[in-house]
Amino acid sequence: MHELSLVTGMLDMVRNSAEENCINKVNRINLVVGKLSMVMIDSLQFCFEALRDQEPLFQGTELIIEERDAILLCQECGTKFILKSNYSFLCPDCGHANAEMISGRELYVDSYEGDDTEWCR
Amino acid sequence: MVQIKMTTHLLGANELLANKNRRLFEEKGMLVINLMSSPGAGKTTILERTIEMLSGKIRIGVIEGDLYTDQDAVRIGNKGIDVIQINTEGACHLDAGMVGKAFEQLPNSELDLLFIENVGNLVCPAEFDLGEDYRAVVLSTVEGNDKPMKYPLIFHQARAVLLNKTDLLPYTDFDLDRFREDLVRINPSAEVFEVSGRTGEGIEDWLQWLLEEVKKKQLLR
Repeated sequence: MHELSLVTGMLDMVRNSAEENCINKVNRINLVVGKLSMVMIDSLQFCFEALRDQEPLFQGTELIIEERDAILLCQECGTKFILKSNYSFLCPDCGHANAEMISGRELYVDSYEGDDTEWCR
Repeated sequence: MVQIKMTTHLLGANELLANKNRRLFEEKGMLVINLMSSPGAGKTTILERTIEMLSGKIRIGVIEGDLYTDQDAVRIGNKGIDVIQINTEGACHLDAGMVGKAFEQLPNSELDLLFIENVGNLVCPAEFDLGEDYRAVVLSTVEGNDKPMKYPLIFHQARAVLLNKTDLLPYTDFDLDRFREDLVRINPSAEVFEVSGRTGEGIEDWLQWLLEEVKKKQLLR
């Protein structure tokens, strides 16, 4: 349900950056989403497609979403493990309950690609 | 064609405001609890009980989040404490900006304990830091024991989990052992309180924990 506001915020960020970098057409936005962020990929895409055509800067822009696994690092024995569908945060090697999440909560624009104009520099 | 590297978090603006709230709460030595659950799990009833039983011991304030109406704020206000209602008008969660503004409107901001009652929802509120010290999640027995597995993020982040409506346990299929097992896997360090907001059973342990945490926060000031 909050995907629409996330996409609106994302477009604001990219628009600001595009202005600073003399980009008048964004072709692609590369977004990284962790599997444990409470975001629906389909819903993000849907909201993105609904909003992008409202301004020339984003006409036809592609949204590429890279999903990242939730990876935990056990603070007791150093084992790295992927969070499986049983959502066990316990270390599979030593059984301790002290693991730090090192990925899985990502929700950021990694980069974007666009056409630049020389005249505004 | 050029590529611009950004690595900018989509919730970056919220994070900044949340940190601002957190600094303000720290200066005041105030413990702040972000109380979350699905609609109808009993957040407001637990708050009413908590306020009744702690009245005279510590200074409590409440920020109420709902889509519409001030019904919860009226209930809390009837307990004789300061409360500010936020109506999100359709938004499924509170954000740090809303909380910052609401806090400014509290008539008395010198508090020991501030509760932020979030919009009833187990999904979206989990993403939004409000500047709180702890998140507390309420689950009621009538919702079923599978909820921690279905909404792992919110239960993983919780410092306290309150299982509410334990007085209704005999009338449900809620599997208490299974619930406890699942929770240990998802969040082994959570404090778990089994309570009935209606009868008051089990609330004492929750209050004890709150009072200890209030004290700890004041010592950090």
